[in-house]
Amino acid sequence: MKTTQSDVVVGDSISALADGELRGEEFARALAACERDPTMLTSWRNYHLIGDVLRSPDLLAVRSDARFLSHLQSRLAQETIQSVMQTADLKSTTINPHSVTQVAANDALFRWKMVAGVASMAAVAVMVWKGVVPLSLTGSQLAHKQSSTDSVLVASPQGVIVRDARLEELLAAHKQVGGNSALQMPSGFLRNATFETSPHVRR
Amino acid sequence: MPLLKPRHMCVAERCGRGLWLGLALGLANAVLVLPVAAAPPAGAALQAAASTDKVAEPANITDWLMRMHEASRKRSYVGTFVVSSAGAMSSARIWHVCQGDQQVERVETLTGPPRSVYRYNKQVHTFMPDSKLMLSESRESLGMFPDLLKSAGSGIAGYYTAQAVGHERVAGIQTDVVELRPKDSLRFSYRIWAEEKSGLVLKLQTLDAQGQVLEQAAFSELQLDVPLKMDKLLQMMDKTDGYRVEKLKLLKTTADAEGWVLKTPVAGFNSVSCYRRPAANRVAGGRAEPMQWTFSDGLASVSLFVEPFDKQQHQQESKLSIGATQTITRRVDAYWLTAMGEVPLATLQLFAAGLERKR
Repeated sequence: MKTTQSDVVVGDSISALADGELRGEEFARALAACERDPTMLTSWRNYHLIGDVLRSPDLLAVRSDARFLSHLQSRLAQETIQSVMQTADLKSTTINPHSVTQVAANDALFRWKMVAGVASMAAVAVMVWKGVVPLSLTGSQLAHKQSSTDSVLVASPQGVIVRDARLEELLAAHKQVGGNSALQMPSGFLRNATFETSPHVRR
Repeated sequence: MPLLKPRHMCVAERCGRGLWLGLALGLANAVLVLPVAAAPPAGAALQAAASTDKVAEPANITDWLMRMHEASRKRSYVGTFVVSSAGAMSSARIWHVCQGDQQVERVETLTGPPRSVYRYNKQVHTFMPDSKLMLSESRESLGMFPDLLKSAGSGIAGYYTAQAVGHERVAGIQTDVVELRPKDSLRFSYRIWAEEKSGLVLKLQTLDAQGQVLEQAAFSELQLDVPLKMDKLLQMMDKTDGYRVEKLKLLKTTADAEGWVLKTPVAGFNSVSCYRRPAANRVAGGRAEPMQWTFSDGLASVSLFVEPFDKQQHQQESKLSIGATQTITRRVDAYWLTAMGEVPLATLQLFAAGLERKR
C-alpha cells in the first residue's frame, strides 16, 4: 500500500467520521469517499474497532487471535514511512508537560481526534497488540518505533525514551522492593497499590 | 466487581479533570457520609475537642515521622484514596484494620484495570480478576520501619528538616501541615497533612526544588475508627478459588557478591538490600533478571538494576520522568544500568557515575 499525502488527508476525515465529528460538506465528502472506495469503508470499520478496544480493555483478548496478529503485522509493515516521520517529529519537539491537555487512554473521554492519522493508528495498534496502554504520557506523544515491534517511544520532558514492557517491569520491581521509606507505611503502600504503573506486566 | 466497574468509571470520569475536582467531590461525599462523630464539630465544640485531644506538635522530624507511623498502626478506617501523578489520576477504596500489632489492609482500585490488593503485615496478595491471577509476595521493606528510622535516624535529620506550616482540613478532618525540606539538592521535599489528633497521614505531596508538585496522594473521603472485622478481610485475602497463584520469590544477595561497588557513595543514601530474581520466575524466552540494589535516605529510595548489556535491547541511553519517579539508563562496561528512584535526575546520575565493576 503506497501512502500519499492525499490518502492521509482522507484517512483523517474517515477517522473524524468514525468519531461523529463531521458536519455538512465534510460529512457528505467523507460518505462519498466511502461509497467510491471500499478500502475507506474498511478503514472506517478499523477506526471503530480500535476505538472499541481502547474504550474496553476486555476486548484486548483479541490479541491471542493469530490471524488478527498476522494481519496487524502486515499492516504495521506497511506503515514504515509514516512511522519514521513521526519519530523524527518527536525528536524535534519539546513537550511541556503542563501544556499537554490530553487525558489518559483509559479515560472514557479519550478523544479519537488526538490519534487521528494513519501513523498514529500504527502506534496505537502496537500498544493494543502488546496489551499495554500506558496510563501516562499517551496520545499523540506516542510513536511506533520502527526497528522493534515490542516497544513504544515516549516523549518526556527529558527527551525520548523507549518505554517497553521491560521498563514497566523494573518500575514494578522498584515499587515492590524499593519502598524503603519512613513514609511507606503511612502512605507509600497505598500510593503504590492505587497508582499502578504496570497493570499488565505480569499477565 | 465487573458489575461495579461502569459506575466507578463514571466517577473517575467526572473526577478526571484533576485531583482538586476529585477532592472537592470527595469532600462533598464526606459531608454526606461521615457520621457526626468523625466529622469535625463546629465552633466551641471544636475548640474543646482540640484542647483535650490534641497533643503538642512534635519538635523534630524523627518525632513527626514516628507519630505518623504509629497512627497508621492504631487507627482503623475506610476511605477513598486519590493519587495524581504525571497527569494521570488514580483512585482506590481503602479498608484498614488494626488489632494489637496486626494490620490488614484492602485496596480496591477504582480506576484502570480492576485490582484487589490485600496486605497482612508484610504479606501482600494482589488479585487480578481480568487475568485470573493472584500474585503472592512478602515485602521486607514494609517491616523495616521503625528500624529504618532508628538506624538511619540521624540520617533523616541530617538531610531533611521538618517545619509545621499551618492547619488545613482534608476530607473533612482537621490536619497539621508539615513540610519536610531537604538540606541539599539531592532529594525532593514533601508536604504532609497529618490528622491533628493522631498524626494519621491524610495527604502527601512530593515537590521538586522549584516547589512544583510532582505527585500528590490524598484521602478524598475518610471514615475513622470504623468497626471492621479483621477475620473477614483475612478470609477474603485467602479466597483464591478460580485464580492461578504465583509466588514472587527473590534471592537475597549482596552487591559485593555480584561484583559491584558504589565507589563514590551518594550523600545520605545507605544500601538497604540487594536481590536477584530466580530464573524460574522468568517469562519463557525472557531475558535474565537483573540484580536490584536498593538505597534509601530514610524517605526517598533508589533502585539500581544491572543486567548484561544486550545490543538488541539496549540501544539508547535515556532519561524518563513519571511523576516523582525518575529513571535513567546507561551503559557501564559490559552491563546495562537502569537507575530509578523518587529523587532528582542529578542524584541518579551520581549513582550511575559512582557504580563500578569490581576488578
